[in-house]
Amino acid sequence: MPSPVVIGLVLTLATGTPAEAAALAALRTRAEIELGARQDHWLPLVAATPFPRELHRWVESLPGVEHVDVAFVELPEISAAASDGPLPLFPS
Amino acid sequence: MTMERREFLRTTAMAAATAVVAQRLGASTNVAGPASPAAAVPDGIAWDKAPCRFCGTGCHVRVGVKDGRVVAIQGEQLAEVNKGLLCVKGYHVGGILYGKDRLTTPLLRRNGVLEPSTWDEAIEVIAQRVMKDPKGFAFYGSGQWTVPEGYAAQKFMKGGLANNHIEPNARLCMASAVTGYLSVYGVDEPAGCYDDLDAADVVILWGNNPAEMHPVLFSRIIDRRTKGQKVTLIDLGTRRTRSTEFADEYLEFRPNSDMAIANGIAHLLLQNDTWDREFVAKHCNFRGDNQPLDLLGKPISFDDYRAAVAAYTPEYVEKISGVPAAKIRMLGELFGRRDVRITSLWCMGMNQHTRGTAINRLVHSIHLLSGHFGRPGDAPTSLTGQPSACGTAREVGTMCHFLPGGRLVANPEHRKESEEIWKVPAGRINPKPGYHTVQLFEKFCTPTEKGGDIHTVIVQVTNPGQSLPNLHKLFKAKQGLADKFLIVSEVYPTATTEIADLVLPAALWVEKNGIYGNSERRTQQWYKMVEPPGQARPDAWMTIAVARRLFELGHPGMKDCDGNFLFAVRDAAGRDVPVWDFAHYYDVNVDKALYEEYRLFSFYKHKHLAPYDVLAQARGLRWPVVQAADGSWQETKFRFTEGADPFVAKGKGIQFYHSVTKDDKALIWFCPYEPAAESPDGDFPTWLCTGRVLEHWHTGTMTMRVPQLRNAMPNAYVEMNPDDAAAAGLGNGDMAVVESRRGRIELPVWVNGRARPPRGTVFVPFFDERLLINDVTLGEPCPISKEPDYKKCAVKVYRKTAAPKVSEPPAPHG
Repeated sequence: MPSPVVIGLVLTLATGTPAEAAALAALRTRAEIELGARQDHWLPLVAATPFPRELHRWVESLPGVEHVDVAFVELPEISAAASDGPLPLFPS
Repeated sequence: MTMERREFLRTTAMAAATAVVAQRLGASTNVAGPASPAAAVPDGIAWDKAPCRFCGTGCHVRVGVKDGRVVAIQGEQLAEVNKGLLCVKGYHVGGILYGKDRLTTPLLRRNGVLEPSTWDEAIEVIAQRVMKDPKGFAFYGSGQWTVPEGYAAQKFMKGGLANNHIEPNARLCMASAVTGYLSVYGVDEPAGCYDDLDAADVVILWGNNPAEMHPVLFSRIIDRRTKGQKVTLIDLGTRRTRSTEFADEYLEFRPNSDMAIANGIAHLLLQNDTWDREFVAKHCNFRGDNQPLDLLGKPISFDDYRAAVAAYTPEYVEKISGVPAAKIRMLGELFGRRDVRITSLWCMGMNQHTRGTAINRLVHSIHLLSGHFGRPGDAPTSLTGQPSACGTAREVGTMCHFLPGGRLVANPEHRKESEEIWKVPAGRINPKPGYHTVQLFEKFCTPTEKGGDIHTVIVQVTNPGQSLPNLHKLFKAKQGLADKFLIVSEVYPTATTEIADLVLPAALWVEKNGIYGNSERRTQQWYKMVEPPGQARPDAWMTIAVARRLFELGHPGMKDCDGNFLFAVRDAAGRDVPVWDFAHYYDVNVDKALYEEYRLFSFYKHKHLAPYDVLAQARGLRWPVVQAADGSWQETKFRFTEGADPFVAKGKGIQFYHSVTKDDKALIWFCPYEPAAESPDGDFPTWLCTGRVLEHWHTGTMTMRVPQLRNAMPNAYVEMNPDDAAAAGLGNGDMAVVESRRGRIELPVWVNGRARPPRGTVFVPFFDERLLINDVTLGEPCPISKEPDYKKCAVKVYRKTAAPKVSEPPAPHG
């Protein structure tokens, strides 16, 4: 498994909707997520995860989350990040 | 990684995200801002600022460096462009440095095989190719050249070799925007800026998809809605995109018919008598095309103009475009209102167009005719796809007909001014424009005995082997031509290095000093932060090293009037520094020396650039930048507008001070609708459109090496309408053949994809070097800008027989 990396996101919440409360509840179930101080529609979020893109997508998919912006990202360890370009096309 | 470091990064990440929220709540930023937090912090990470390496938005990032490596990225909170935010590509921008297959040593083809070489040998080989026949040498760069890199190449070619065969790949992406601005205002680049997006009541996307291509700018618009502001988004497109999901109106038009829509709006402004008579009387003249078409056309009267647009009734426009007449009326009425502010945005949809210049003129013209110009939020604004398409390609003027600062090689006075700044003998600069991009590669790929008079091309920071249209004709035909020689400076192996004769390993982004210029006239500087791998070196050094070798070989063009080397650089004590010797390249700041000389060119067209040391302290400054009485340097948000632009005379209100007609007026153009150069027919019944996707940047050479981006979008695909797919017996993941009169490729099908293409149309992204859609594209250029059309050609799509089923294409997300 890749090493965890730290990401910092800014969530725009659907304020005042039932979905907002559900989204907040869902976010609090994830141990790798730390929520910051919410102000108005916006909520800072920090997570340490080996799968930052997947976590990002999951957060985006929550109905009470209208938008996700990126504020910070740690690069994965070099060995995990490095790539030698496009994968073989359509491996059988 | 230690727990302490992890905890430190968590704290930093939370601080960054919280700072973004604070910005959104209204905390202001300082243009110049405090210096970057470049000092090392307790856990050893040093932070410094740089513009993102990818698109033309020009977001600033903070780059975290530890032990000589980039280890973290955050959005620069002090940057006005992005206010601490980044998109998914910017997120991973540090990863582009660390692909396993970085090129680290020069490679020279011997007996058909690229073999390791040395820099000395590489520079000698290039110099000998130039010496043999300087006129047959060509330089091809891009909007990813830093300003000093592009300037060095420009000076080397036009001031040194007296050779105008220099082009940027920006010819392929924004040349039509340039000719649009020049023919309307007499000077290039937008009058407005991103602040317009904060003030507009209506944003119109003309064939533009900023949700994927300029996500941070799009987020800036959408964020206003979150704050309770009303922003109406109108999407004019030939296919639905992610931007459409946020649009209040989606008007789907037939390819090329945007010209009819713009003329339809003009027709309604006149018919409804809602055009801005006072604005037009004070600030505008009228123009029509000459035959053959040219940049500046011919004067026409208002009555001529009225008669020309009279035919474009809503019903006629509906017939051409497919957009209902009622929606055309809606647009016409919208432009006729004075109580709303309208910003138009466009990018490749209007520029990569066989009438690219014309549609650019028409969109400017409806803004002028309706007076939607010059107030914050009222602006026609083109966006660029590369980080320095504006800064390097347009302002440095690395095109075959330009000299720096908006000058022309064909203009004797401009040549004289340039020769004086370069201190080269009078008459050095060749008055004849060189070959534009398509011509240049045609000549290179044509046998010498058949008129192919370009024998050697050096390519820096771009990938023409993937990005040129009609690749069989314009690139691959070079193979087998023994006297042709391709030199490629690159970071990774690409479709271009594949047939190169000499490959030069290049330093990338923060492995060198740099300056970029973004889409809103903002010039941005950064310092080298990490060492490049192996023997990779900056492109500016390569140019200077070749120039020096030519100087030693006795090429007269490499000397100035005093007999000094063309690129002589002196230290603070006035001593010559041998910067062509890489061991001494960083003894002085070569970027600063090149930039300060180039800056002298910027005053002619009132594009005044800030001094290097002022730029170094800022997160970019928008030109013209002038010094105030108190000594501070002030940028310009809105050009041609009194109070915002220091060059507008008091009492003028609006002043187009580089007017084509020399009377401070802009030009309102009429250009007729014309069909595309190739339309579907019985043999090739489907429209093909090509473009980009969120996860990958242009030809994917960098983003395909970032695993997170590559895995999110691993291969190209053909996006099909469900009914078309069903009619062809195709489903998701089936292999289809996309074939035109020029070539064919095989691709997996993605039904609907992200865009839900209309019936009779398909879309293929061009990022995948294994699936070269430009084997298929037409590439017919706009006759004025010479920019090819990648958005429209005729293909047929059919099932590949006996093809294996491949994995499902990536699901839409985000």
